Parts: sequence; C-alpha cells; structure tokens
Amino acid sequence: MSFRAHAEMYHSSLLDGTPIEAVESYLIPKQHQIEVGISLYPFDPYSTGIALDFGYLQNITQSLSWQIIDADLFSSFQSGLTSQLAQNYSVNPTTIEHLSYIISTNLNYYFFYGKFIFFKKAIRYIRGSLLFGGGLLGTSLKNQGAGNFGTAFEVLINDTFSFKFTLRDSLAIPSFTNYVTFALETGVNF
Amino acid sequence: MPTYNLIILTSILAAIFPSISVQTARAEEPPWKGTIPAVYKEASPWAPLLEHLLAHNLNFGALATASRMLTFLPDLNSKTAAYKAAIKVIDNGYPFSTRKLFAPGDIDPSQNDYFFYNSYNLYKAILNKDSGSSRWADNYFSKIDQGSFGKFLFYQSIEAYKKKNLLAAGGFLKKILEKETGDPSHLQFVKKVVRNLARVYFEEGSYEKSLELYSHFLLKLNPISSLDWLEAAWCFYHLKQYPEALGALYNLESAASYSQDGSLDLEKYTIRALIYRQLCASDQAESLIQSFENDFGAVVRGIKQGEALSHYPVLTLISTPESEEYREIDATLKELQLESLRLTELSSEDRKLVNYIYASEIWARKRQLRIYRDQTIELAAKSLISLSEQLKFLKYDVAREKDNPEAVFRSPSSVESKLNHEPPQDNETTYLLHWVQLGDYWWDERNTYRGILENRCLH
Repeated sequence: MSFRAHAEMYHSSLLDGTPIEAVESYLIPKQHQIEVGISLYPFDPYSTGIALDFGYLQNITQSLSWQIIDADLFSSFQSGLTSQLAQNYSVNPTTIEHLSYIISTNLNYYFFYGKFIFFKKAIRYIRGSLLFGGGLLGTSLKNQGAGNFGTAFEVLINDTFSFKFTLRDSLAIPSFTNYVTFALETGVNF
Repeated sequence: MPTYNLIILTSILAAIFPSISVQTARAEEPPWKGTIPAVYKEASPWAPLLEHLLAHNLNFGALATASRMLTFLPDLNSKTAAYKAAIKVIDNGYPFSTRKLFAPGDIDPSQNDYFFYNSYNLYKAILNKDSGSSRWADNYFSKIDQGSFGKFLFYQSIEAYKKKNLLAAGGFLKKILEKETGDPSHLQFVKKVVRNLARVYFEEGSYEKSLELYSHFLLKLNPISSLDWLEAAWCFYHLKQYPEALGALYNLESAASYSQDGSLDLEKYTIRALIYRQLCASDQAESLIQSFENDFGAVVRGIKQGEALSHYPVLTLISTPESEEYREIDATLKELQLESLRLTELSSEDRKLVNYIYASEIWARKRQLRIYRDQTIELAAKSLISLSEQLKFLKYDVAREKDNPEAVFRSPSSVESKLNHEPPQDNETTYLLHWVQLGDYWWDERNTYRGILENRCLH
C-alpha cells in the first residue's frame, strides 16, 4: 500500500494526476487602520532615538494601501561617544545633531501574502509590502524634506487587529543623509 | 502399500480430529480465567469507577464496565447506574449499537430523570419491537414523551426513512432541530440528526440542500468524519461540481482521515471513476487505475490465483456494508487499547478493577475479531475484485464518452450553465488565494480544495 499523505511533501500533490488547489478567501483588514507603536533609530553614533509612532492608513485595494499620515516623535538618548566628546574635547552636546521627528505619507504595495502556524496551534496570515513616500524630517538643528523607502510585514490577528514591523530609510533632502528606522506597531482596523 | 496405509490413516485421523493442530496452538496461550475475581463481586467499587471513567472520557471502558455490572451485579442500584452510564456514553457519540445491553434490563426508572426515563424506555421498546414482542414494545413506547423527546422523534424518522417516506423522515428531523437549544452536550445527537437530514435530502434529490448541511455544519466540526467528506463528494458529483468533488475526495488521502478508524472505503475510487468519465479525462482515469493497481494490484492478483485471503491483512481494513460488526469490534478494540494507556489517570483504588476490566475486555474483543475475520475478508475480497473489474472498463467508458454525440455536440454555453464549478472570483471584499497543494493538509484549507480539471468531452 502506498498512501501519499506525507511522502511527497513539498512536491505538487496530485490526485490521479489532477493538481489540487485550495481556494481560500484571504483575510483582508478593514478599510481604515489606526497605527500606534514604537520606532527606533539606532544607527546614530551620538545618540539612540526612540519614538512614539502614530499613523492612519487606508486600504485602497488588495495590493495597495495609503498611509495618509505617519508621525514619529523621537526622544534621543546620548551615547557614550557624546559624553566623551563633551569631557575630552569640550564639545557642547546641544550642537550635535539628533533626529527629532519624521512626518510622512506613504504608499504600500503588497507584494507578498502568506500564512504560518504559530506554536503549532494557530494559523495566522501575513502580508508584506514595499513602501515609498515622502514628508518632513526634523533634527535638533534643522527641518528638511524626506523621501521614504522601506518594507513592512504585517501579521493579521483578525480583520480588526494586526501587528506590523517596518524597516524604513528616510533620505533627508537636501542633505542626503540616511535615517534608517525600525518600527513595531499595532494596527486597529475599522 | 504401507505408505498408502499411512496416508489413509492420517486422513482418517485428520477427519476425526480436525482441531488437533488448532488446540495445540491455543494451548500455548495463557489460560483464560472466566471467573470474576471474588473481590469484584461486591457492588461497592463498580459505581464509583463508572463515574470516574466517564469523568475522564474513557467512554469505551465505561460501556464495558456498565456491561459487566449488568452481568455480575444483581442489585437495582448498580443496574440503574450501569444503564445511566450506557445512555451517557451513547449521548457522547458512541457510534455502535448498544441494544444487546438493554435486553436484560428490568429496572423501573424514575420519571424525575426525564432523559434517562425516556431513553431507557425507548431502547427497551425498540429492542422488544425488533424481537417481535409488540405488546411489550407498545407498553414501553406508551411511557415515552412522544411529542417532544428528541430520540423518539429520531427513531420515528428512521422508521419513516425505512418506509421511503422521505418527507415524514425529514419532518421529524427538522422538528428535533427546532427544539434543540444549542446545549453543547447534545452535539453528538445533533450531528446524527443533521447527517440523517442531509441523507434524506440526498435521497430526495435535493443535493444543494444536502450539501449545505455538510458544508455549513458537518464539515466544520472537528474532527471531521471522513464519511462526511465522501457524502459531500457525492453531492458535488450530482451537482456536477466536479472540481469540488475531487477536492472533497482529496481530504480522504490525508493522514488524519486514515487515522480515524483505520478502515478503507472503496467508494472513493468509484466517485473518482465516475467524475473522470463525465469529464472524458482519460489520463486521470488511467492514473486512477494505476493508483488502484499500486494499492491493491498484488492483493487482487493473489485473490484471483486462489491464495489464502489471510495472507492479505489489508483486506481486514476494507469497509463493506456487511462488515459492520467486524468494524465495530475492531474499532472498539482499538479504542479500548488507546484508553488503556490512560488508565494511570485514575486513582489507585480504581486501578485494580479497571485493569481487570480492560484486560478481559481486550482479550474478549480479540477473540471476537478472529471469529468475524474470515467472513469479513471474504466480503472485502469480493468488493475488491468487483471494483477491479469495474475499473478495467473505465478506460473504455471514458473513450466512449469522448465520442458520445450528446457530449461532443453540447454547446459550451449549456455546459457552463450546468457546470457550476467556475473558480470563485476576486471582488472588492474578497481576495482569493489559490494555494497549490503540496501534500501537507492545512486544517483551514480542508473544505476549500478543488481539483484543477477541465471538461475534455467538448471538442
């Protein structure tokens, strides 16, 4: 007897040569989403920026959403280097530039949908997007324009709640400085 | 001459003492002690054990215990406890007949316990009716709340179904469902009622209604009975939704489906063959024949060559309508063996008695299996040969269907209107994903499978 169940795993499973597919309605979050979370800007040698993150997003189509506004308000924590500069070279810490805020609007293009099993119990859906947009970026010394590029992965708990991880590079214009931030957000859809 | 004499003498001896060799073999086994240990003749440990078994969901053991109590203990309290437990096990979804258990019943249950009173009288009534004691049966029936006791309505629906009065059968079943309050303890009963209603609809030819019951209730339960997939596949077949029918049948290939009772239903090959014939799918038909050959080819050849059927243990797994009793004993044995691994959950006071019950019950079931085995494998062999012969003609059937003028000259539009199997489409609120299956059977996908197969009858 040859029962196929697991023997041919990871090869297309055929029933008498007929391919089998599962046609499934993908979980789509509701149209409006409020995002709340925390952002991190860890790549500044003089300080680490931690921000409260707020946003509002609209799902436009199955593969496109518009993050109408996303605001990150940073607090900076000085690194050892800043203290050393102040102590050894009398550099005034207030003259060292650190990130204060990023306010932007972004489009998300969803390029990937999937699902996974969480601790062998729950099946959860995930979608991944590429984001691009623009906005304002402020440091302790100046305000500039910014172009945003990044990627986000969103785990949908149900059509109302989701968790999102975003990796974003904000390119300040005209200084062309890169500000790479990470954000972990909760989305509430309605 | 002496050699011939020896042969003749041996033949005579063999004819007179045919069981010598069997008895020698049996003598090696430990002797069976038919007597109940004296300590268990006391009623006191039985009733608490019964309660503990039910509390731990050891239903097969509980039923065996109840059965022993009815045999061993003469007092009414023990008998009442045994019958109450038996009825609870039935309500918990025990899938086999328990009529024999009620044959010696001579208790007079109190009317205060509505379910027990009505259930007991109903089972006694059915038992008496089946044995031809209609007066006794009427006496027991008269005690039942016939207007609203669910099990009685269910019994009436079965009687109506037997008489092919499908309208009445469906009516009784709907009445039960109307009265159901959604109590989770009634789930097993409701499941039976809904399944029977789906079958009534199927018999009526109302395949959509029948399918609705499978799709929206029976196939949403966990665990799903593999029989429900098979029956849903028949509905899809009659509705000409062949991709969905193949999808439902695909579930039967999963390990979860096999592990349910370990039996094999050959009907799945029949539906697949019919689908391929309808769609003129000659490649798939050949594949099916090959798949059957891979699974059963050696067995079929062996049967045809007259080999002993006992050489093919797979025959004991094949389910036929006539092998019900064997299946019951086999399933009970497996369940008892599984439950026996959990006996450590019980207290040490229960352990000695429960070990005795399980050991003796398993022993008895194994012997019962031996009795029914030969008859079962013979029936399975017949089914297998019959299916094998049918499949031989499948190729020709499919080829003939391809040239069937009715199929060939059917206009595509008329076919489309009949074949309601176009894949569902995306819209603003639904985003459909088509996961190609890799053989890993995700539970959330099991009711969404479709076979990707086109109708090849149209030229």
